[in-house]
Amino acid sequence: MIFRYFYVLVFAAFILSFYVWGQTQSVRLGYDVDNLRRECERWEQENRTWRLKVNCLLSMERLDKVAQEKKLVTPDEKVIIYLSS
Amino acid sequence: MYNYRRTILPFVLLFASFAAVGARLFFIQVWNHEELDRRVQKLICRDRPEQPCRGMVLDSQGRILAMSVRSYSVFLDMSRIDGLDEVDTALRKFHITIPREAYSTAKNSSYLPVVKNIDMATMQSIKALALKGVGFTAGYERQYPQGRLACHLLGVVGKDGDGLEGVELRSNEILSGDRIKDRRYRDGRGREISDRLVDLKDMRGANVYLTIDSNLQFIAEQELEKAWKESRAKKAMVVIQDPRTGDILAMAARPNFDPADYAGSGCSLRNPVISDVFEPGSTFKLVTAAAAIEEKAAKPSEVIWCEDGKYQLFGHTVSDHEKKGFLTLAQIIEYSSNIGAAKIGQRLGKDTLYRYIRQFGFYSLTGVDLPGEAKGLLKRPTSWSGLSLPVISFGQEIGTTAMQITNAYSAIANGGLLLEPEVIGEIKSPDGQTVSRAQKRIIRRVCSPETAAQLREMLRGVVEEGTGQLARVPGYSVGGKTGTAQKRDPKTGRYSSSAYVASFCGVIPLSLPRLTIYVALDEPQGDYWGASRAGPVFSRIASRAVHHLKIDPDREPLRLAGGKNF
Repeated sequence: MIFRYFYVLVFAAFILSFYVWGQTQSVRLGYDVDNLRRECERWEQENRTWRLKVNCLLSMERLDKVAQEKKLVTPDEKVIIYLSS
Repeated sequence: MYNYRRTILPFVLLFASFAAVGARLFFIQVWNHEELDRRVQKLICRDRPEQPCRGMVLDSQGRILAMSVRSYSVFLDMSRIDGLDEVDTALRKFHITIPREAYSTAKNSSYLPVVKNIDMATMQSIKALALKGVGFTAGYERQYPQGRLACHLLGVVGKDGDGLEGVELRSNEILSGDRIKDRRYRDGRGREISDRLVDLKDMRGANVYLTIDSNLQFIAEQELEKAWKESRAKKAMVVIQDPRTGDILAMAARPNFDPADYAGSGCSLRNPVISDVFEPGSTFKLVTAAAAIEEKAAKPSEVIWCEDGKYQLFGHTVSDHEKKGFLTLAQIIEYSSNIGAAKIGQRLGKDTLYRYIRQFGFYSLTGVDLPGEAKGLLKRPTSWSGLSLPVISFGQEIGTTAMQITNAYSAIANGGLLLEPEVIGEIKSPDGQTVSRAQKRIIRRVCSPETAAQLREMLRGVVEEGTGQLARVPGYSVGGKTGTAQKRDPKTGRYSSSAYVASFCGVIPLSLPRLTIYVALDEPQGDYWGASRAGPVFSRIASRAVHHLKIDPDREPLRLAGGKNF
């Protein structure tokens, strides 16, 4: 009889311990998730910054400026041949 | 003897202790639960409103015209700084200078701004130095990678990140997104975690795709810039519209500004294409001709006496730039005879002409999806003087915008349907899903397809034989109308003899219209004629535009180098 109560107590202690462990893990994972979220946001912002840089480098104004610096000229219409699409 | 009381007493005491603890637990966790929970929440929990990153504005091909990026501002907490000189030396490596107030008036300040809008890399480098008393605040900076391109169309944002002009203002709600509340919990070490997983897509506003094509916009702006500088005009404008759908493919004006740094530009941020009202001049004759044909007041082949260039009306002289005798309606448009147009207007009568003017969209908003559009100026027929009718017939004494004229010509180009101009083509959510797409909207039919076809033929005559010959584009059929409108002198209230608006509005290719292009130069110096100032600009823009859009020529055959036909 005493052993029965002992087993019940041990089982209850195990359940309680598992619950506490679960809670602790949940909080720990919460920290990890938050850190990963910040990391994700950081990479996303970096991606946007690079996307912006690419667009700035490919901007018409910049390309035109570079073309002028290299003394390139717009070809005369007479020397351009257009093939029908 | 077995003493029962002594045996049971410790158990009773133990039980009483546990009961007391249990009662206390009950009091804390059940009885006083709400009050204690509230106090704990106050200590560890806070709602942090997160402003989503403003959405992007892109062209029809997906090229970015405006976007926001994370930027950081550096501030000093003077109460925590030990050695200001050390901090100054460290920040100078990043070309950041501490303000002078740090040494004097702001010695005890806990927030002294130092520099704004530094990028993430610089912020991280400064942070790595672990300088005591140096803090950062995060925000977003609006960037325009294409520079000044389409600045009037895009508009600007204020310091708080809200749109102030143009598309930025018109689509402010869409671009801004909704503020989200991120509930964060703080532990004993001050570390924070979120209550829930905040989706990064919720952290961004929606993206707006415009109808304009950046390449076409650049072509238009480049040619406009050249013409504006050559003519030393006060202002210059160009609009390119697709007459089949009403989509605006390009819209530009000079002078312009840098939307990322507009404060010191000295230039109005208003979009003159939709907000500046001016007298259109001879480009308006198309409306008179349309009314005459629809109402059968004149036939294209009908001959009208043009008074040899001088026509006396109500004590005033209406004159033509070239003396002409008898002209057909088509020739009146080709040679831009004011007298011919005045006589046709007189045949139509005030009420009929007014009705057609309104029908073509003048003196009303076109409905373009941009803020600040002007309606124009037009008196009611009851207020017209005797001279008003003939004068309005050739485009004076009426105020229009460049957008209205372009839209009216697009109606002629597409067979008689007045469409609502569109600038915003599509709205997509941050994850790329289309939220809404612009649909072609027909405002009304302004004339029959047959009348529109006859008018297009008249416009062809203007370019092939009339005043618009400098607007020709090799290999393509072009139709258009020149305009040279006198401006009123604000001091005298009379028409000036030196201030004009030179304009040209044309359609290309005429056989299957794909583009309506309007060019206007306000007060060009020296030569002020629309034919010689605006016509060539139209020709250059149209020529480059059709080749960019790969529109096949509809006139001459293609020629190989060496003169052989292909």
